[in-house]
Amino acid sequence: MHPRFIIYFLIGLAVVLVPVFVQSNYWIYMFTMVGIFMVLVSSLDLAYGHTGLVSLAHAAFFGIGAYSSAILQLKLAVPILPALLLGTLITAIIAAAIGWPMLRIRGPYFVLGTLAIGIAIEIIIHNWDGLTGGVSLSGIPMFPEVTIFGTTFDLSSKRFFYYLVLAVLVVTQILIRRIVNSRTGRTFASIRENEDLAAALGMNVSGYKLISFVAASTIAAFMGGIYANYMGAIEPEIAGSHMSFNLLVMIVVGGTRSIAGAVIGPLLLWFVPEFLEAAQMYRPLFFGAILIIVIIFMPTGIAGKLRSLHPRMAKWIP
Amino acid sequence: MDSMNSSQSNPILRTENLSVQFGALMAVGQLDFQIYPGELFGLIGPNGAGKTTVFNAITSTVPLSHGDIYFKGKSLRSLKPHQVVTRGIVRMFQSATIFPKIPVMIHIMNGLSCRTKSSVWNSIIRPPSFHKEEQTSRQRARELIQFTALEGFEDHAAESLSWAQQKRLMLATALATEPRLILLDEPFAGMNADEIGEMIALIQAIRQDGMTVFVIDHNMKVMQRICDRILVLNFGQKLTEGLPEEVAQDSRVIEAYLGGD
Repeated sequence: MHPRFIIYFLIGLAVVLVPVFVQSNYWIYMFTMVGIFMVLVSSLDLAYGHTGLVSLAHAAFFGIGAYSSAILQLKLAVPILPALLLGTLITAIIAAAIGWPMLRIRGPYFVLGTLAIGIAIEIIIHNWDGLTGGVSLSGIPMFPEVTIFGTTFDLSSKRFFYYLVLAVLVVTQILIRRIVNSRTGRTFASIRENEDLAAALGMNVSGYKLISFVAASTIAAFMGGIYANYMGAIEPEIAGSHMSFNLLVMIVVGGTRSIAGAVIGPLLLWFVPEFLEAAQMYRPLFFGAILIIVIIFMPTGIAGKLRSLHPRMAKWIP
Repeated sequence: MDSMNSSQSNPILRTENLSVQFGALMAVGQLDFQIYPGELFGLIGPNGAGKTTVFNAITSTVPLSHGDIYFKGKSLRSLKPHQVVTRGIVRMFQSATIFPKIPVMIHIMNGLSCRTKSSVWNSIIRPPSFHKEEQTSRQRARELIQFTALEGFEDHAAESLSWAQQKRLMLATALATEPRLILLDEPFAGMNADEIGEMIALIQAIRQDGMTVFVIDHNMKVMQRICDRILVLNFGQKLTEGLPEEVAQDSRVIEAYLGGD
């Protein structure tokens, strides 16, 4: 076996064994949150990195997914799994309805349009008290205990959610790799590189932009549903443009179109600042400094820079 | 193709009062012409004559102000640019317009995407039909790489190729869409004599395969050599149309190109 794959295997094994060796629930929570951000960054990368759609509404779909699933459970007593799937479906429909007119505008106008949507969704959630709970929606049920062959599994535990998020992350990566390495992915890349030429070669540009936008939003919505059950309470800020901006910065810093980039961004911009608790008040400064350094010295992100150091490195950085 | 053959078959492309207006400027006005299957038809004219606008109108990149364009007898008027390609018309742009970061093999496969069917679900589930289609696409891309003499560059980013290679790459990508009519906008621009010779050979080979070619260029000598008929455009209006030798000797054409006293 190639040494590269042995290293990947060992990293994978270490990730799987984290809950076995880490006893602190706080650290398990931290790793789970990093996993959630990795899913969000990877899904945003499908729209931004692969298709060239700079969306500042990505967190809005994460939020709509979280709220839809939670509201279905709380108001209509829908069981967790169907609520999660229904919430994701509702978000996909909303993403398609928003994306259809939005994706006809280009460049900075599209970015500003998505920013407006992000702000609007946050305000709607905040002000629709009767449905969303206003400043906070709490009491979202945890996953129940399940007994299989006489063994009881506590699905509300932090460890279960760690593995659940890890599974979603792995499936997300597989889905994205499969889409990207296909006719659909090639069309996304063509649109990113030269939209007019793509149309001149017979590609349905607006149709494929919509597919990319809805697929990215759907993954975010599914993650949002799990997040709602994980946290037990959610706030409108999770759907805000500030959150979307953070996700975008994570991609730019980590590197687009790269699994490593989706890992580096959240680790550096969420995990490290959380770890440096004493420096919480300097968090925006840390964020800004990293962003400036990366934009100036590593325009393709940290993963892109590492890949460019040597042709062999390019093979080692997935 | 001689004029007798032309008159015997139905035109593959026909314009009727083709007019494109930008504000007060009439870029192309009331232009009528026909192109017959298998023909190599040329469009010449001084800078700003409206040649590229004619291509833009055919490919639905700009809306028609008046008139209509018929391809195989059907109007193109309400179609979107990608639907025009699906009908069988493709265009090669004036400059080497490429997907800069995309490798040559994938670049050409992009041209095939309007003829393949794999959906986003197929790319996730990957049934046997997905693999078969990918294999067929790669095989066709390899053939086009060979045809345009781009062997050895399969994994190179399009932007790393020379100007002439980029033009050949665009030709290969355009051919991948399986067109019946190919529009070539200044295919010889920026090329040296050897490269022009190679491009002419490619165009003639395409034509021998039965494809209809509609070409715009400034190089009158080359156009005379390769075209069956030539249409001359000046200030958006048809100046004349005919056999290359007739057009070359037309005093109005000479005046338009060289300027009158």
